[in-house]
Amino acid sequence: MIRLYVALTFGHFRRHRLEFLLCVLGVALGVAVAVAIDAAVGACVGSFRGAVQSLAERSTHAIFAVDGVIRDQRYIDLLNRKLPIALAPMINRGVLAGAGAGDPIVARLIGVDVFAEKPLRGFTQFQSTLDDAARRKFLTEPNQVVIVDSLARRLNAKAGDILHLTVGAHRVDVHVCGVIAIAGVARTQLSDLIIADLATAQELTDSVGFIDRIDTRLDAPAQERLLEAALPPGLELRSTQQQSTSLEDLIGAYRLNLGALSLMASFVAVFIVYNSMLISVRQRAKSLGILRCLGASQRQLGGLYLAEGIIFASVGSIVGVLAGGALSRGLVGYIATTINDLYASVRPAPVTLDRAAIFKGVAISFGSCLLGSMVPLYQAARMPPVNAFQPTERHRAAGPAAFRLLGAGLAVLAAGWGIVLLPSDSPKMGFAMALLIALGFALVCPWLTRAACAAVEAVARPMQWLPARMAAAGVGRSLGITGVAVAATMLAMAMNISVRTMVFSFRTSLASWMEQRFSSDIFVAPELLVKHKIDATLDPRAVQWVASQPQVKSVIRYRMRKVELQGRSTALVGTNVREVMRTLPMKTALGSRARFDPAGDLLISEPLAGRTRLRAGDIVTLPTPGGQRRFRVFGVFFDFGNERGQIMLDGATLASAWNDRQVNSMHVTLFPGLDADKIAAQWSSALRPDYPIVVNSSRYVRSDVMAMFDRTFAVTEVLTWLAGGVAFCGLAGSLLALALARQRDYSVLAAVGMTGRQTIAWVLGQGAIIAWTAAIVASAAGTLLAFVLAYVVQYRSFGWSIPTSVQPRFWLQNLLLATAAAGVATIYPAIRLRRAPPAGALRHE
Amino acid sequence: MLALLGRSGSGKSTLLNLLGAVDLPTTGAVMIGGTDISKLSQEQLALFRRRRLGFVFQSFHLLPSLTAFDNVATPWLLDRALTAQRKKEVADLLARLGLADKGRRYPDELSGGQQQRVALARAVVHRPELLLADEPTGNLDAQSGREILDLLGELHREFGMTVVMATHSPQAAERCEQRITLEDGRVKENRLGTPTPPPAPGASASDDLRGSGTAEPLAAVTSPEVGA
Repeated sequence: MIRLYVALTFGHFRRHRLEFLLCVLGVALGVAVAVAIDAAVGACVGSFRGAVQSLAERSTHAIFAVDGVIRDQRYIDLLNRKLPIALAPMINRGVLAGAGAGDPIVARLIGVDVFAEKPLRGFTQFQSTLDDAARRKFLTEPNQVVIVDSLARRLNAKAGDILHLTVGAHRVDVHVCGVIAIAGVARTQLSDLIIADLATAQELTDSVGFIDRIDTRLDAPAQERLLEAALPPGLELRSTQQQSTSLEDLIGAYRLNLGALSLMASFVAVFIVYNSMLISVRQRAKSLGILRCLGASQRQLGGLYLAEGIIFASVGSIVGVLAGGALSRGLVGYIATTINDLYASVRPAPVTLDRAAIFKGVAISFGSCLLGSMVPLYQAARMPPVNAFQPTERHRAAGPAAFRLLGAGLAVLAAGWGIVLLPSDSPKMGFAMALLIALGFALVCPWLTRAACAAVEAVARPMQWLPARMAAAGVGRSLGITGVAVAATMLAMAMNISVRTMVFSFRTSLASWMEQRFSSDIFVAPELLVKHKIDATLDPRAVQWVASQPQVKSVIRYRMRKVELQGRSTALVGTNVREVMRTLPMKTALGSRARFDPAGDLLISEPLAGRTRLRAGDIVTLPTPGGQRRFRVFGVFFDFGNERGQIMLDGATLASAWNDRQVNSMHVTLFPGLDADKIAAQWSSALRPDYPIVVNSSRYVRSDVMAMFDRTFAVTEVLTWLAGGVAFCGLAGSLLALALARQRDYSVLAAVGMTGRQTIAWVLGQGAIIAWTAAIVASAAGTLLAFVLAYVVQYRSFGWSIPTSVQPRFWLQNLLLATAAAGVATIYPAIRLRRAPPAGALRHE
Repeated sequence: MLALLGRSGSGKSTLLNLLGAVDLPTTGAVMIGGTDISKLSQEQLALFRRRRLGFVFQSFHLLPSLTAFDNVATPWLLDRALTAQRKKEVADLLARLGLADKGRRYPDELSGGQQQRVALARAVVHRPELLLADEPTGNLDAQSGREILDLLGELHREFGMTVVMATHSPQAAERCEQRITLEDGRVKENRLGTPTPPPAPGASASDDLRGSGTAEPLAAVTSPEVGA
């Protein structure tokens, strides 16, 4: 039997090479996209995770302050409790490092107490590799650091050289007293490390009296319980595992969005496999009937199609995984840029396809192929022997099936809509809703295709357009094939329309929000914060200098720190709220009579309101160094700046309650008539030699943010086009199959006198009916999905609502694109039909 | 009416396809009504087939997506020239073939005999000069086959068209004035005779073929394989 399977399967593939290739290409493209996204994100996350784990080395946990920094005294208090647990304090900051005239690069500065380190880390026990003088310098002299050899190579620095560091608000020169080599895996993951004595690092980072974390090693749950019990309020214990997944937590929603979009291509591929296999069943109906006559069982015929599905899946896996590996190398740069722009500074590791990525690719390929082959397999197995002797093709058989699918589609649509009523905030449920809506529209496609064919027939009949009538009849009679081609094409186009509509609406909302949020003239902030997402503050002297300039009409200062709210670390922004509220886009606020009380009121951002369910008028309690303090939520403001949410309160209140007078950024309004770009350039020239800050006009900041936005969504749009590519494979395969299935009709008409031009019109007509039906349905489906993406998925993922505007121009663009795709896809079938001598098809009946 | 006889593979269908311009000779020429169709372009060939030829196939080859009426009207639909007068002619022809109430039916809703009658109507509706029939009774029972041959004879006499029919059936061949037997692509025998049953007398283009051979034939194939 296996020999027969092989002969039948490969014989069929040999005779239908192009259809086979198109189907495999569709599956492989779907696999490649999913594998590439996974591998590229994995490279970014993996390098971060590796760096965290290498830095932790033998330590298993670390103690952090919920509001950011730990006072020295807390560490001393813990030591004084004489717990049988090793504790090591650490300063851990991102810095810019440069040597000589070269461009500075992002590096990591850690400050450690080498004596406390011994039980926890090996790579900080480098003293024995330094000579006595260097060791003494490291421990006793200020501004002495040790750097790892790979960083030394990149900076072209050696022991004895001076490094220029940008740390927080200022620049400082440090002396390299030694270059060390780290062994093992950590060597690549800690390739940017600068190590200083704890006291030195505190001085360098302007953190005298504070540390960033306390590392520890807890071997038993009892030790963990003991330490947790000893921790004062405001400190929390996090495992290395939790720390290493913090980037994954941070980018979780972004990753989910990319993953879901990449899976859409595979979803489209399921339809293509289904279509390809169904075509194969139809093309071989007679052969299958003959096999049944000769004694083949239903199971054996089903097995034949299962084998074909496995062949599609196997070839799709191999090609898809290989292509995914290549694609991921191109994608990783884009994704790393987005993560750097929006979340945290990462340097992606080289992309490698690990076993998990390969397994995922194979699983997607087999999943989509086996799912797609189920119905054709069932149909093949149930093929009656009488098919071998069926003399006349039936003219219409798909009507009731299309009607049943319509009913099923409407039910699925209703179920999809029903998800919004479920009590869940998970973005995954949002995607499930989008998937069900997409599936619902796909299921109604056969019925709508039939309706479209009837409409074409109704128009073409009185006008005596026989090619148009034949096209409508051809599409309408093969709804099993054409309905699925319409569905696959529709899905890809709907995805394109929905993503582009959502991105356009988001962009418009962001631009409008930026106009209001950055309505001042000049923006001043630390270079580390703006360019590298590394927390940093402005030097008070720079703040003073800017505020005292004669062109300045007013200045709004911003301070951002962390605070614990409902058990989670939350951004707390202190500023002149009353002033900011003049232009701050508000979602809700207390009534018009209420006035913002700087001492007792605060604002929360929309993402925070979504996460915490807080509303205007609610009371929140925030921990301050002076104890718990209650605030009233005055209102909720729109915010696209921080998806994890933020609290905004009066700057003076923050300064007094948290004893924090630092400034992170300044929004400066100039006197009217002044050129902000020119003044920003002047200030930048004056300040940058002394302070690591960025001075830009707000107009420049707005355009920079919009460029960042476009970079972020470039990958998203690429994904939609790749899904379009998958659909094109399906469309081309279907049209080819349709043309071959109609070869006899063509020959009859050619014998009766149909011209070549009429033949082309007929084949083009079939493509046009499929493409236009798909485009019209996709316009409705895509717009609905755009609303789902904006109001359900985005809101649940990022907490912001995006007013969505319907964009008919995207519909039109898709219609034109679909027309062009159908045109391209019909070239080959049309040529093939036209060139085939009619006698050939007529002879063998 | 002319019958092409011969065993399977003798070249009957090939000759019909060449005469019908649905296949092209690799060498030689095909002359129909003084036109060398092997020199016509594809577009000209299509128009030639549409206006001057009619086809009847063994397997009927009706277009499954068109009704019986539309199948018959196909030559005019291709010209976008189905006038009210022609619609009436189609309806009359269907009625004459006993299919008056079958015009709205699709091919799969008709019996084999009915399908072949629709195919015959499609082949003659535009009054072609040459009607080519490839085993027109091959897929029919004896009764339906006789009816089709009767109709062919009637239409031949009434419309005055030349009918070239490839057949294995001696009964069908007996209806023809001329019987050519092919073997391995060559004419083995060319007999003129009185058809049985004798058709009603009437002038027709087929008189040219029924003659002694001195008159100019309507169709001629000149090739090393299939020679007249």
